[in-house]
Amino acid sequence: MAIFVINEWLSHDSSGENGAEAQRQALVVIQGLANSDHQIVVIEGSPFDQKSMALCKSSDISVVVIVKIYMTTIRVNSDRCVLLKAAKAAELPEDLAGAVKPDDHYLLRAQRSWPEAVLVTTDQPLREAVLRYGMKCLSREEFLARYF
Amino acid sequence: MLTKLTVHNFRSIEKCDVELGPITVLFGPTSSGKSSLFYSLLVLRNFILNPTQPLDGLFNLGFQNLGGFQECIFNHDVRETLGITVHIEDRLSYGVDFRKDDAEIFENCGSIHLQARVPLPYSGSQYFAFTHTEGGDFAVNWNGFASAVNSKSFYKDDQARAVRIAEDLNSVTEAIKHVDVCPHRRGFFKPSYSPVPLTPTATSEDEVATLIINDRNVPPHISINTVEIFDRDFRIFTPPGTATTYLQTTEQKGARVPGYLVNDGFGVNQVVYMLAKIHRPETESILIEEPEVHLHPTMIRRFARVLTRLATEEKKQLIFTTHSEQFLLSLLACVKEGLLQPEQLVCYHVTREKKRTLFSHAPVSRDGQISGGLSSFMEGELQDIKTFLSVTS
Repeated sequence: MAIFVINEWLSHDSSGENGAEAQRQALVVIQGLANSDHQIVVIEGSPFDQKSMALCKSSDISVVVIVKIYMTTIRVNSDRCVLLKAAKAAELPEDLAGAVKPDDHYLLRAQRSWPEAVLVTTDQPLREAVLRYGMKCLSREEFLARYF
Repeated sequence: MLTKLTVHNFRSIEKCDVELGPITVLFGPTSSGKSSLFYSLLVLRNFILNPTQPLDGLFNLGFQNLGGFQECIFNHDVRETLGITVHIEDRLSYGVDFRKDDAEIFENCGSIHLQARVPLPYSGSQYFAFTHTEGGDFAVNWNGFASAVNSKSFYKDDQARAVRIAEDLNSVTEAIKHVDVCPHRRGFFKPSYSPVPLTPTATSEDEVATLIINDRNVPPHISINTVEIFDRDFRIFTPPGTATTYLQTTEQKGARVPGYLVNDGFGVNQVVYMLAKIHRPETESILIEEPEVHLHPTMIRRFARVLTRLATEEKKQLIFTTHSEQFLLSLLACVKEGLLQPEQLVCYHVTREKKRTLFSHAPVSRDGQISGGLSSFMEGELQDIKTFLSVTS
């Protein structure tokens, strides 16, 4: 069993804005996670959470169904999704906080709240910073290849 | 409040122990056996209310006739025993093991254990004598349904204790008598009704209309809830000098223009039916099949919130079957908001494997999450979206 912190690529891919293949892969990831023993860590109200919620209002029925599947099989599933309150998430050390964009702090706070968690990101500078700090990180492609 | 239902060999249920909470939700595929759990409780209630009927008659629930013993026993094996037991907390339980020709009735109340075998049909006039010596010397006379307890001492305290023991012993069968049901077939199909005699399981539209007409507190209670859910008043009108009562709603709360309920949307109509049954003063526990039918998702959400309040504030025990992830999500949202404690919402995922119904408890967290998620609702949509997106794996 692994624990992942996933950044917003999953929402973007689900929305179809990164193309049909990425959307297909997003569905495979969601279904795969739902059927696996893995978990994801989500900070309530974080940009990842907000973007997922926003997709519920999409006019594209495929997007709505994908996000509905995410919501019902992962987000409300206590076996698959660890919910953290922002106020209770771990704080970042100053040097790490300074090394990454403020918009990404929530991802690292989620990851540091769950020591075994692996960050899955498409952001190369973020990835380098996380690896430099000795934390676990996978690119989207590595994540797909290894787990799905 | 009923806290557990234990059933064996009833329809597709070979054996189950289902914990019950203030709100209990059974969800799962069609034909998985959710309603069978409801019906088992009603069969037990039928036996308590009318043990003199033939065994097969117990399976006629009023709104639905399940056939007889042979049709309802697991695997149609009439050599087997069909058992239904209700528990209230850990110390009280009442159950019956039905066989083709007789029944074993048993009741437990703390250290008191009553048990008797009776023929079927049973007249209810046979009394079984027991003694209870904890905290005194008591004689218990029990006919399988009700107990009379007498202290062998004349001390006031012992007499009072005998009364308390009798109240405890009789509380389980009383609780079972106060179980009500809202079956799938519900609603009002006429503009007006006249009161009719009530059967033990009042489910016909005339009977439920009678419940509304005969209790002056029920219509305003219903109205408060219909305003919350639909922004519509509910009211009744009886023309002077007649025994005919019209069921009415306003089109909008502010409009004050009454119309017949039968001309309103059927969602409103059947919610009025459910609320009438819930607000019935005698109702302590109520089984409701698919409360969400005919309702828009927004109304489902509002209805779930009203039901949450009825369970927590008015202490009505609500037991649902549902095919709506929206309904369950709305209840989970109530947990997240603190309107409902996680332990007050008891959920079971019901499935059927090799002809057997399985009840899997799905605990709810304080965050409003549920173990196992709601994937069973999404299987169809998942297959469709995979087809649309050409996902093959």
